[in-house]
Amino acid sequence: MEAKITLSESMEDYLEAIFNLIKKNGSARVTDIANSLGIAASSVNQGLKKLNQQGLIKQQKYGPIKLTQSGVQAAEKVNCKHQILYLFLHKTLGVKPETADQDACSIEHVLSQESFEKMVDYLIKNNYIEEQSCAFKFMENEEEEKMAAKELMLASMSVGSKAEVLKIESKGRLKRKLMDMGLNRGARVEVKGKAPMGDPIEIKVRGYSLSLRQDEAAEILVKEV
Amino acid sequence: MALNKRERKNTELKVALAGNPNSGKTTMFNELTGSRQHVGNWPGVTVEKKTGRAFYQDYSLEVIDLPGTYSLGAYSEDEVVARDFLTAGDYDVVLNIINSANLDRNLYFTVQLLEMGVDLIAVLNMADEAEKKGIKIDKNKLSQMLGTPVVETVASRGRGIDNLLEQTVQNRNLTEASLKIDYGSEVEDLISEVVEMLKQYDFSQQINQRWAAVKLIEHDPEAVKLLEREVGASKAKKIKSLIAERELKAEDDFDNIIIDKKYEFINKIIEESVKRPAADAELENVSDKIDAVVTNKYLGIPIFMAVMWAIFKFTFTLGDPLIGYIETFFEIAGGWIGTQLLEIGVAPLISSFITDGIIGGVGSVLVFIPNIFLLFLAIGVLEDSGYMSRAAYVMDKVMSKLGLHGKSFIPMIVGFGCNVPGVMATRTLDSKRDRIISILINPLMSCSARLPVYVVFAGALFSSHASTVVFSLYIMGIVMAVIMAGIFNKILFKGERSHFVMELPPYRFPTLKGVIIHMWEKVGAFLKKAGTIIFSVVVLIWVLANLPLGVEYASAESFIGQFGQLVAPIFAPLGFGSWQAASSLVFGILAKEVVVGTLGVVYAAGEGGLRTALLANFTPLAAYSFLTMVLLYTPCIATLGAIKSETQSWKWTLITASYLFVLAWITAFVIYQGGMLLGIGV
Repeated sequence: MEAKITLSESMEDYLEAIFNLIKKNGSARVTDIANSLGIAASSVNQGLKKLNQQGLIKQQKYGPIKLTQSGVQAAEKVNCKHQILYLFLHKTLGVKPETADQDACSIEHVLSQESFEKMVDYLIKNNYIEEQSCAFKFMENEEEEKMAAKELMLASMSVGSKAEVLKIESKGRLKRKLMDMGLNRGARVEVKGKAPMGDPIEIKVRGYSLSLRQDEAAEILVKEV
Repeated sequence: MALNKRERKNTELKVALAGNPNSGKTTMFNELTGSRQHVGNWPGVTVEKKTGRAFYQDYSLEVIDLPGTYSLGAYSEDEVVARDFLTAGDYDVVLNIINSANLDRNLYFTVQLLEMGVDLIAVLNMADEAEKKGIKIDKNKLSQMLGTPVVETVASRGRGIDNLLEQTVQNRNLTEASLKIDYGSEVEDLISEVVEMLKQYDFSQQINQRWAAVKLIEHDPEAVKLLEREVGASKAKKIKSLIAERELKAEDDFDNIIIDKKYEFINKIIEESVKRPAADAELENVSDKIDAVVTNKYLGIPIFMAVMWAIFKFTFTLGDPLIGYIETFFEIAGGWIGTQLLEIGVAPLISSFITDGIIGGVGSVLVFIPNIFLLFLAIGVLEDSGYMSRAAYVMDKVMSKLGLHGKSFIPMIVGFGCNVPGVMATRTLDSKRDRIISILINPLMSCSARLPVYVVFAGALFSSHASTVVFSLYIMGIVMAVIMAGIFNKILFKGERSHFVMELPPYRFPTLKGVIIHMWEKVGAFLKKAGTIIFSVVVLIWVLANLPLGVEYASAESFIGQFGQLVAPIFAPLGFGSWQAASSLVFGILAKEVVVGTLGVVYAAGEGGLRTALLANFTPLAAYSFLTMVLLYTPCIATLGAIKSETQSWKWTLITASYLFVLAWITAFVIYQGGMLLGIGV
């Protein structure tokens, strides 16, 4: 996920409004935003300036407003929290739809990640939401996500990158051979190069050069460092 | 351990060299023993056994060079040989040669040896390379942590050799306790239980029981076999199931835990006894720079091609004139001895036996000596410089598509010169599968001895397309090799997986001494073969060509001629069913170029006359079919001898001889009958 951006409540409202307008009309204009939020166009302009500074929207002068990639993500997250809150209030607590929608609008800005995930868990357990729910996109523990992003097979590392061996997934003789050559857990490796046809590869481990085929390297789990 | 040690005089020592490949072990062996070396085979396997003698003060040392291995995992024949030797304990002390510039991995082997209870001296070789890299090793600390003496040497410059010999002599009765690594409570508890069971079951006292237990826990297949031999299958099963049961509960596979702990131990040793420059200061060294060019995406393959071309050129342009001299020498010697024998009144038959049979026959094999000399000189330089493994690295993708290994190209290239060194060059392949397949297809590389046959036929029958015809035969050989490699790969070794986990050693300047010794070994092996197996077959064929008594040598009435008549019908569907053609092919098994000479004799024609004889007896189509046969059929005796000695098996030798004959027959049949149908070259 992108660097964390803390948005003020109103900024999140703006983003959500733009997101919904684009979804509905294909574009978002200042007047439309002002209308949908019930505020003056001038204040909308000020808000947009801030969003632009944070790289969440792109706006050409007097042209339509577009969301950047991180803008879309931020908007989706707010939108998702809104939906989950609405469902939680309406389905499990029996709050009337209108009240639930209004409250969701207020709570969404202050809801912690933990509470959000617990609510999602609860809704899943009671079959209120389905697998495809937007929630899953924002569920993973961020720390885990970072780890997962860096864990990969030695074969998919690019030349020049360094890693630490986590696990040899080969079996039998090949596994023993690899470990005997010093490729065991914790060993530092560096991809030095690839043969002219991309296979085998040359790595540096324990101070010497070792070659292995791509399909052998595809069985070595590493963590980039 | 030093068990079942033979009774030796106090001044006689048996010393073994053990260590990783590329640790300078062979250089050390050469330095210690000089020219006092003997190369043989370890009993029952094709692994080379090198022994030599070194003298120091009043002591005489028998030095044994064990095969270079990375571990005692015992996966390849080499490792099994080293391990069996070390467990048997018939030695006074082991010199463990360590590459000081690469301590981590080298110590992994040292630690395994020490755990097994081997009495060793740790030899920090290549100390100069370590110094250059800024690595400082505290010998005393290292010695204390390993619990064994440590000596520093630079074998390539003879530095520290005297000190090593001194230490060897002084520590000849070394009996250090075996090294114990703490494998953590989980594994340690299991080790004690297994040791307890081994004691109960009367497991051999001669083997370090803790070591055996550790090996069993890491599922070492050789250790399991040993256990079954020692205590019987049912008791072995009890131990195995105990280990399996514990492993289920363990947090990780036991082999992972054990290897990790070994490296942990090594890391600790290195931390305390070695000072290295900061990791960041590890500048890109010369080897990396050379590699960047030699294995470059665009340059890698052209460089490889250029190197191969250079070797080929070197071997054959320099070797061919020398071959001429040797041929002339044998001709003159044969002629001179012949007249001398007649003068002193020796019977013509015996005189012919000596001149035609022995001198002519052995001479036809010995003419390859210059080529073999030069080729192995070139290969020695490539190997010692470190390029050989890069070449394999560059070519592996192509070769593995063909079901071969990156290293298989060397024997193939060499085979174009002569299949004998080609077959011998398969030694560089580790896996039996890769090696056997490379041997089986090697005769399909059209060797230089077949060229004279092509040239004579092409000149007589394809004058305007002579070079195209010759070229097409070379290509046919390669295509057949590729096809056959694919087939063997599917039917003979289905599902066996080879790997390319291989060290790329740093580039080094080869030493003259090393290369010369390397070359002598190979040529010596070839000479020995020429002296035994080849010689006896040569004699046999000579006898058959002279029997029954009184016939003209190799005429239609001789046994060979009669045999030719007998087998001629086999070749009739191929377009050359004459007894002359058949006998020439029989003689061709002696040496392929003999086909031309035999045709000359049996058509009773001189050089010029042969051309006319061929024109009269062969259509162009039949001639091409005949050349196909010459290219593909059973290899010469020298090659078969090499295959026998390299595979240590008559089975593979006979398979090669027969599959090639069948392949040749079928291909020639298709060519001849196909040509007849289409009306080409009739």
